[in-house]
Amino acid sequence: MTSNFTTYDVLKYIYNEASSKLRSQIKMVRNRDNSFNEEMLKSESLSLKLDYLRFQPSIRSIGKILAVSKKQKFESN
Amino acid sequence: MKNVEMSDSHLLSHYAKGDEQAFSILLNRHKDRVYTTIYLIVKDSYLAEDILQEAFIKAITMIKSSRYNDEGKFLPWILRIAHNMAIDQFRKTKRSPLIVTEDGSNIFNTLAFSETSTEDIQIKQDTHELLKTHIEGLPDLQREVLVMRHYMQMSFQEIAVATNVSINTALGRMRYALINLRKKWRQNTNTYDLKLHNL
Repeated sequence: MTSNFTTYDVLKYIYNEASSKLRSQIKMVRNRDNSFNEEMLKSESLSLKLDYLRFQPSIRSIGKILAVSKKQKFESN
Repeated sequence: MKNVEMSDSHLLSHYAKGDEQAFSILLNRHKDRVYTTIYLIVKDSYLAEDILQEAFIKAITMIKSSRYNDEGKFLPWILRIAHNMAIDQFRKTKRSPLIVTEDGSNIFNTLAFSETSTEDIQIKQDTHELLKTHIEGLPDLQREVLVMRHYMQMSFQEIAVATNVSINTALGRMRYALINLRKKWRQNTNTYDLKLHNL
């Protein structure tokens, strides 16, 4: 694979922080290099999984926060 | 009030006029992201719950005393408060992970699921469980960058500034985090495949 971008450039591409010039450069290499494209797909898939990872706090915690809000008065300027 | 169309900024202006329902919508909209950010830093569900409460109570106090300057960026603001509190706590205690909820059950009982199929839920639960374990096993600096990029929506440039390193260092930490996660993921998948073959 001949390319003049770095691994950091690839990372910026995965995270949508690459310039349009860099994006088209990487897209071109993806189209002609299968193994590179496969690696990219794996990284993009992992990134997506991370984005969807969510934990929920307990209802009790949310209730406590709402109770504090209701109790606390607004300070007038 | 229709919360679907309401921006954070609109909700905050309603809240500032005394509409508690607006705050409830805002809290429910962002609680999971804020909690996930905290949890992945402190790795302790009890502590994460406490910090979540502290962070939102601090936000309430600031809003109700007119010390909050919105500019439409409530989420980055509350995430910053929560992140700072979590980092402070993490540095203070450096305690080992405790992965149970208030009622003593597994943390994954509180994962957010929208699927109805039992199989879908199981797959998602397995994926989340693996990911959570792998993220917890990352070195602190790599985990910090990962949390900031994925859950705090910070750019690599912003992460570099916030952590006082060059952008290449921030990118390097993220790169190693992904490499480590992929490596662990592969190991798990191989083990799983091997188990299936041996059935």
